[in-house]
Amino acid sequence: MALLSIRDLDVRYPAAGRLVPAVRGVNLSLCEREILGIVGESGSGKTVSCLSLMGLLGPRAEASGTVHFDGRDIDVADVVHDRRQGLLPLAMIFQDATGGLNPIRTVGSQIAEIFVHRDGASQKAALDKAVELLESVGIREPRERASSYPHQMSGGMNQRVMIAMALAASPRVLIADEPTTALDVTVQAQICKLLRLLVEREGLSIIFVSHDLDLVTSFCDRVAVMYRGEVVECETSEEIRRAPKHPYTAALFAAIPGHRPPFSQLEEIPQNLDVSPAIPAAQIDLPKVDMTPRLPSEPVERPAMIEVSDVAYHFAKRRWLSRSTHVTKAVDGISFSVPAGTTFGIIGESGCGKSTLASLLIGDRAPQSGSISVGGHSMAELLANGRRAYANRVQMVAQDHYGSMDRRQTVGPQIEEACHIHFPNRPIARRREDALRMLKAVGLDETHYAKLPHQLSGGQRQRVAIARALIVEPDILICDEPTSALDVSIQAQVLNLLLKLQRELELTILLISHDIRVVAHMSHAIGVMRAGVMVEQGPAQEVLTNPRHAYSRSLFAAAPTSRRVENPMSLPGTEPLLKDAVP
Amino acid sequence: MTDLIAPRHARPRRRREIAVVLAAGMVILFILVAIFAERLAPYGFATIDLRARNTSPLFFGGSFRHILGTDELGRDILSRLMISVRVSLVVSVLACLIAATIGVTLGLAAAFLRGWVDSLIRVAIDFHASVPFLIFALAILAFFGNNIVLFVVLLGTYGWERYARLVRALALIEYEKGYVLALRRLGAGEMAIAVKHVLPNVAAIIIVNMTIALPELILLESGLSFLGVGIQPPLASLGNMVGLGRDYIVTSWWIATIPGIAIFILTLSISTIGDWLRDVTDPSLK
Repeated sequence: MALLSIRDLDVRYPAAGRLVPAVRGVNLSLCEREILGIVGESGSGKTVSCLSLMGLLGPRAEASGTVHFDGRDIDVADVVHDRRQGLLPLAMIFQDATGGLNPIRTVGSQIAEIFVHRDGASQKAALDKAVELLESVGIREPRERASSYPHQMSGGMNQRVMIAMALAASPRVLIADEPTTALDVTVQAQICKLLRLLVEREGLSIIFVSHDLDLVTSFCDRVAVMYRGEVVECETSEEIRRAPKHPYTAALFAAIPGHRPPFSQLEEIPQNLDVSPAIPAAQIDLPKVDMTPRLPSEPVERPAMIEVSDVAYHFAKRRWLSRSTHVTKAVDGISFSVPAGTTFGIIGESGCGKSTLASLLIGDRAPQSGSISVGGHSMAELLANGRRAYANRVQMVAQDHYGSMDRRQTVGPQIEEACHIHFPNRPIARRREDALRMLKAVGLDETHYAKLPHQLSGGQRQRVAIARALIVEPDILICDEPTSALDVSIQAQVLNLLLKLQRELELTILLISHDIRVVAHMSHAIGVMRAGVMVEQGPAQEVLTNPRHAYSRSLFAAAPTSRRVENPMSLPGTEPLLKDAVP
Repeated sequence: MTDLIAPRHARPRRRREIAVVLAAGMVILFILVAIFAERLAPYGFATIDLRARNTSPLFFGGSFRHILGTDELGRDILSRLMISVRVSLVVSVLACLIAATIGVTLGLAAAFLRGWVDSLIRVAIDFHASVPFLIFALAILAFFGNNIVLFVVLLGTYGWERYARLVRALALIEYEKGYVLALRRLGAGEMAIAVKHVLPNVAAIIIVNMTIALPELILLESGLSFLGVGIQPPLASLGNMVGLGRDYIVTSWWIATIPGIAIFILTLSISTIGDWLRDVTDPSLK
């Protein structure tokens, strides 16, 4: 018997004088002590479905349908505008835990506040309860930690605090909306473990919303796949992994790197795929993509395109009126070399120094020691007369595709400007021609030439950024988290594009990412970074299958990957890890 | 799916839109009057008619001959008002452009060059902001005597520091944005970044600030002319009309009141448009 079930949920928002559906005819059910995953890309309606249960849709939304909770039938319209949440004993946690906490109050007092206001408890009793809760979500030394401020805690700790806050409402159901998306994989595994523990110990039921199909199918009991406001499939995790019934689910799996051999084409889901209710799911036609892996031909001895030897960059910070300085070793003696036409992937968690390394390689700052040489020329020599000579050889694609463009200028001229910087003698007509050719090479066309950045989708903007970098005709392309801000299906397009361009242009790519699946799919060689040091590097296959360093092993174990399909019992966050206590 | 819905917050927004349209209409009217002042004016602005001194306006005992009445020398107030609007608008718009040019140039230079140039400009800004402008203006005009070019230039130095501060702060923010970094990584020159990218991105706010500063300049011009150091008779400006009418406020109230009302309507209209512009160009309010 389901604890919570939603029937025929429809949510519509007024826009441009019409009511635009955000969610259509959603049916979901959640059993007691169950973790239900909802997975989908942005705009699929997964968050809207949850917010409607919480009464957080906002006054403009119109909702219909019924909610059945613990033997009661409730009209959704009542729930939606019930902001005090008296009807359903639910609580919710969000992606940005640090942003959800008040930065000028201690975490303990923020939890205690709930007991003071709701139960009229005394300050002291409330704080004791808050400490108890902090302990129950696995925070060590809870009494000391209760008097810390949010900025003194890590992102994972803050997410635990948010969970503790949610538990203060003694909910029967916890809705977790992308709770681990902003966290490192090892922390993600810990939070998942904690949620599983809460189900076992407190009898909680959880709705876990995520964009990551691998994570959801390895962590949740059942998974609902949402697409364009509809639930297209709802099955047990094993069933979805084994045989996805809906073509969209299958396509979503195929779009994730790691389910296909390295360097092979990833499935691209067309953005205008029409799944209106009139078309039965089985009839949706997804374009077939060439699946054969394009493994690089046998390793030929290629000359090194970029050589980095013993590069270091330390940040020194002196305290007010103090003589001593605190030194952060962001990059501390890193060496590697990348043969021409291959990809070197750099994996690391936040704070490992990979972004500082990228800024050194692109020439934003000069290394304090060590040397970088590109195609046989030293970086210092290339940078001697401004950045143009170096920029001509090394280009970069950044994570923030919107921020990296001038939002008041159409994208075509921005590409042309890059061309003009490096080839000032080319006539205007030729420049325009080149820009259009480049747009075509990245899968866009002349209609996109005169678009402003905000008129393009995220994937299209990232393509424009790639076009702008490549029109310079560089030897090396640095990609710093190129797909982290994109949906899986768009990520597939961008990764396919990078693979294609590498084949055609003999590009040397430096790929920096926190996502092991992306790096594994794209790289010939891999380096693992931690605390400014490259703890391990070598050929991709070797590093991934047989990591030598303990840190690499724990990193790979924590990451949700396709490898779990073969051995679902070893998944972190499920049974095996439950045996050890919460850290 | 296609049912029409009535937006909830439509009413106050619509009211504001009506106000903006009215204000724009008023401003256009004033500009047309300023352009065609000679042709529209029924009399010469300095034509004296001593037999018709201190005639009341229409509906206050006057006639259609002098709709807004006449002053103590029998000059037609409507004709003088039209010329005054031209003089006041031209003086304040020119002054506004001068202030914006100085301010934007210095502000952008400070953000672009940093270092000691930045420090120097910041000191100049603080210095200017700490001197009471009215006293400074009185001193200059008293010392150098009065001519209209000096007057416009002097007004032009009013408020430049606000543009400079604003542009410097905004440009510093723009310089931190990803696209400037991306352009540097592409090898773009610093001058090209400043002029082709940073300036257009702060331009909207400069224009908004100009519409907000313009009424202040009209008031300043009026104030200085009222004090007798601005536009000199026989030329008329809104301020010196009020100033000259001051002596007759008890016997012939309209001489000072009518230009006063014109100042009020003009400044209010421009401010209304300025506020609206500020809100529509602010992406965070959308």
